[in-house]
Order: sequence, then structure tokens, then C-alpha cells
Amino acid sequence: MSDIRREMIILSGLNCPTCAAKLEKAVQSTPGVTEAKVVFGAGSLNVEYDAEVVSYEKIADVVSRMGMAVTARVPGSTSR
Amino acid sequence: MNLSTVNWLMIAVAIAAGAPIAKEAVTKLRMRQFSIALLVVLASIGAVLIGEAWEAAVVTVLYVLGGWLESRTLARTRSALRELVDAMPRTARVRRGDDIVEVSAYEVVRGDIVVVRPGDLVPVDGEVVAGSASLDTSSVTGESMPMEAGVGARVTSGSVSLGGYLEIRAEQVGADTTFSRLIYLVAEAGEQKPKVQRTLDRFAQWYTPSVISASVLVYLISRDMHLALAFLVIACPGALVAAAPVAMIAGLGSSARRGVLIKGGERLERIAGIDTVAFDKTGTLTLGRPRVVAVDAFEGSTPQQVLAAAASAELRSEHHLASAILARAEADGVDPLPAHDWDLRPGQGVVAVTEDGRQAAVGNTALMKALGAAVSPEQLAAVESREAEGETAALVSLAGRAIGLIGIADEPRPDAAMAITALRDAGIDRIVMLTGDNRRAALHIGAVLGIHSDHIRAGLMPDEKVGAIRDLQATGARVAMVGDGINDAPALATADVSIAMGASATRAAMEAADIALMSNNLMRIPHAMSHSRRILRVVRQNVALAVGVVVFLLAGVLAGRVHLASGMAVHEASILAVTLNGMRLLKQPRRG
Repeated sequence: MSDIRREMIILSGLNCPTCAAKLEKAVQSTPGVTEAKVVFGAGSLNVEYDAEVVSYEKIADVVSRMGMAVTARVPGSTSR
Repeated sequence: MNLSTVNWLMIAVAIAAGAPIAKEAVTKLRMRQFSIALLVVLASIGAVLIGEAWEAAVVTVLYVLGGWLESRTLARTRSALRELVDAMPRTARVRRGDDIVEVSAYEVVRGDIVVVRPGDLVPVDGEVVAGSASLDTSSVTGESMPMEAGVGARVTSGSVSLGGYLEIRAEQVGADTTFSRLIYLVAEAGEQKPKVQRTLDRFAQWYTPSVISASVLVYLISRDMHLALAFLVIACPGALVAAAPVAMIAGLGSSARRGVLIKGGERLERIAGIDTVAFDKTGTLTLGRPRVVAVDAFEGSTPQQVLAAAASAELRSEHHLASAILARAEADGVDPLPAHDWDLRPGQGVVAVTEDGRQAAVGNTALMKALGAAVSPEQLAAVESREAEGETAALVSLAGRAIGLIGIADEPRPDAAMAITALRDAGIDRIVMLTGDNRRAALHIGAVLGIHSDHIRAGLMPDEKVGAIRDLQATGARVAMVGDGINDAPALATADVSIAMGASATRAAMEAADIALMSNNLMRIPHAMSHSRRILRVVRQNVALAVGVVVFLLAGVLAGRVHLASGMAVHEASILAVTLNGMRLLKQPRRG
């Protein structure tokens, strides 16, 4: 069973493009995350994950460990 | 104060400003990240060790100040998107039995009845099933005029109720609402890279590693710590990487707030190169609300019979003329004959079989010919005289005999002529009209709007519109097609740039188009085109600036003119400059 969810996470503290690339790698390597893209211009992390394997909180935790914070969440459509 | 006091003071400043940087560097080091913060700390320690405490102070203070300014300006350029996110509905009032309960907007399911009170955000896309209200749709469509919504009206999420009471049956909920998709599409568009950015990315890829290795090499050869540190500081390609994205998101976000969704990336370059704009006529240049202006019965029939037969054939039709005929039938109290076996014939009309087994049809002369219904020369003359007035004349047949004629007219949108003038002012050489309607009706509208008759192609089937676009492209024209996104989908897909109107009503069009206008305001088209050009211009300026700064710094370091502090200052200043330049796109010159 898998419960795939998409979410756009609006970040604060995403101030340097290199941090964006690093956050992207860190989230991508989190088990259960199937897709992660940090959009520097938008200041957002677009993530697709299997809620059976990884929780949103776990992803938010990765974000805060990288020195950034979540300011808003926009759940995305799962039917693409 | 003697020199050593100043020295100690500088060290104190460096420690005070450097402490948070060191903390950041250590945190990132634990995450196995080699950060700029670490670079700054190392550079500062190095500077103190070689007796240049002032340099350590300047570098750390600049880093802190620069970081603060960057986060402030970045937040500003991202504000357009943030405002969209903030305007998103968070909660919904849902009818559950006799109760109205407040739930998260993401817990609403399709089919729920949602209650909207004054001040509430509409949390779903759906149909009004009870009540009426005045809705502010500006956050979705960019239109400031409130919309009056009553039973049967379709409303979109993100609208605000200004007064009244609504019950809405939810059709699209949560992440699938128009508004939610809009936000996603804006963010995704910001991520698409124009060609100029992709070139830059390739440059940045080898830039940093080569400068870092150069700095090591420089130190090994010259043993000049200063020079090596200066190299390291300029190795961070901050402005190079930030140049395009900050401008893109500011530009795309600000136009989205005005109800114009421009998809980013290399589309911007295509939009900037457009020299021809092709418009669909019906529903695009015109209101698309055709009215029946005449019902002529041929000999042996009554207008009521004509209307009844036409209404039966059109009962199941999605065609834009159908609603006009059905509305007129209803207004005149004429009941359509019950019918079945509807057959829509593209470019011709519609045919159905009535309950008593007779064939009822509405369409053009080609349809009548196909059905074998004879049309006399007088009847043909009647058709032509209606068409000369700019009307669409639909022949009606019953049981294989032409029984009458229905004249239908559609008016140009009030802002159509102005939008065409504005496009010409914006340097669009050629305005073209492509329509499935007859040539006379098309010429009539073209004359009103100032479109040259040579640039009007009428009587086109959907696939012939594709051919018409290809013909234009074959002459070297770069064509933008404006349409409603449903009937025109093939032509839109063929054009160099597709512009879909009223996209808040058609999700598929919103996803597929290069430019999606959330409203039906035609003036948004010249705005969108000039805004796209502005975005591209700012992106190019930023790229030029970033590359220029890098070249300047490299040359400066090599010439021994740029040191750690001044290098850091120029570096931070260049990031600020590209961000500030991008911020200009938040403001849009508004005309009309």
C-alpha cells in the first residue's frame, strides 16, 4: 500500500541558491520521498511522498535541520 | 586610540558578527555541507592571523548585513506568490445533515454542500444550488468588478463573498480547485528556465569548482593567503544563480495576481518573438452569447414550428448557437419535441430524430445538402441577406424539408477594438481572425474591430484552423493564437504561443496554454505580451549583470585590486542588485 501525496511547502530562510540545491538533495534522499524539487525563485519545496512511509513532519524536520522554516503548506493534486 | 586598541576593537566586531555565522557554518558542517558561512569564518580567522583584523570585521559585518538585506528583498520578490498562497481558503462551512460544521478546506469532498457567508472565501469550485451573493473574484481573475452569483452559477475557489448567502455543491475540492492549480502552475512556471538561464547554468556549473581549484593553486604557487582568500570569496556564484529565478517569480507572480497566468521558461522567448496574433471570433472577440434575432418560417410553416424543430435538434448540443435557440424557445413558450439519436456534425450543424420518427436538423447549407433537403434560390437569398447583416443564419429542416431560418447574432466584446489597437501599438504587425462562422458574419465583426479583410479566414472547421495557422507560419510569421481552449485546442497547440481566455472556467486550457487569462478581459492580452517581454528583459539584464560582476571580480583579483572585503562587498551587492532589479516586475504598468 502506498499513499502518495504532493505538497508545495513555502519556506522562509531559503536565501542562497546553493542552500536550495542542498535542501533538495537532503529531501530527495529521505526514504519515502519520491520526488523533491526546491524552487529558489518561488522559495518553495515541491515534494511528492508516500505517507505510508514518511510523514509530513519528518520532511518538515529535514527543512528545519537545514536552517529553514515552513511558512505555509499547499497540498497538491495527486491526479496529474 | 592606538593601533592595537583599534585592532582589538576590530577583532571584537568580527567575533560579534562572526558568532552567528560560525554557528551556521557548524550546523551545516554537521549536515556535511561546505557552506559559504564556513568560507567566511575561515577567511576571517585567516585575516586575523595575518594581522588584518579590520578585514575580518568588514567581511563578517558585510556577510550579516548582506544576508539580512537579501532575505528582505527575496521575500519581497516572492511576495506575489505568497499573497496568492495567503488568499487560499483554509476552512469551509459544510452542511452535514441539519448542521453546518466548519472543516478544513481539504476535508471537503465532491458533492458536499458548502455554505458561504459574507466575508467567507469560497473554498471549492462548484455550482450554486441555493441563495445568491455578490462575489469578489479578483484574486483568481484579477477583475475588480464583483460578480453576481445566483442559483446555477459556477463559482471558483478563492472568490470572496461581499454579501449574501450561498450554498454551493462542490465539484472540485482541495488541491484540485482552480485556485490551487493556479498557485502550483505559477510556482512551476517560475522553475522553468528560459534559454538565457540555461546557458548561464552551464557557466555556473564549471565556474565555482574552477575558481576554488584556482584559489588552491594560487596559494600553492604564491603562498599569498590574501589572494587565495579573495579568490574563495568570489567563487560563490550567488548572483549568477539567483539572477533569473528571482526575476521570473516576481514577474510571473505579479501577473498571476492580475489573473494572467504566464508559463515561464523558454515560452517567454517565444512570446517576445510573436509578430502575429490570431483570434478565434466567437466567444473570444465576441461575447459568445449569441442571441436569436429572427425566426423566419418558410412557406407552409410557422415560426413556432421552426423554433420547436430547431430546439429539439439542439437539445443535447454543446454548440454555442444551441443555447441561443433554446433560450429563445423557452422565452417564446415553445416546447422542443422530445427527440433522440443526436448527431453533431462538425462544421455543419446538428441532426436528431424526434419522438415521432421525423428527422430534425439545424445547420448550414452544406448540412441541408447532405441531408437532401432542398433549399430554393429565394430561401438561399434570405440566408445571404441575414449573413450580410453579420448574422449567422441557421437553416432548419424537418423530415428532410427546409422549413425555416433562424438568424443569430453575437456582439463584439466592448474591449475588443481597444485590445487590437493596443496589440498593434505593442508591435504586433498582423492581427488575424479565424472562425468557423460564415465569411459575411466574420467580415462584419472584422470591420467593427478594424481587422483587415485579407486577414479574416471564415468557414473553417477546427482542423482547418490548424491549417490556417500553419499557412501563417509558412510565411515566416510567429503566431500566437487566442481562443477558448476547447474548440480551439488543436489550433492553440499548433500556434507558437497559445493564449486561452476565461481559463478559470476551463481547467484543461489553464494547464495547456502558454498564457492563460483567468478572465475574459481582452486587454490582458497586450498586457501579458508586454509584461512577458519585460520579464525577459529583466532576466537578461540580470544575467548580464551577474556575468559582468564575475568577470570584473576575477580580473580585479588577478590584478591584485580586489581583496577579501571589497570582493565580498561587490559580491553581496550584485546579489542585491539582481534581486532589486527583479522586484521591479512586481509593479505592472496598468493601462485600460
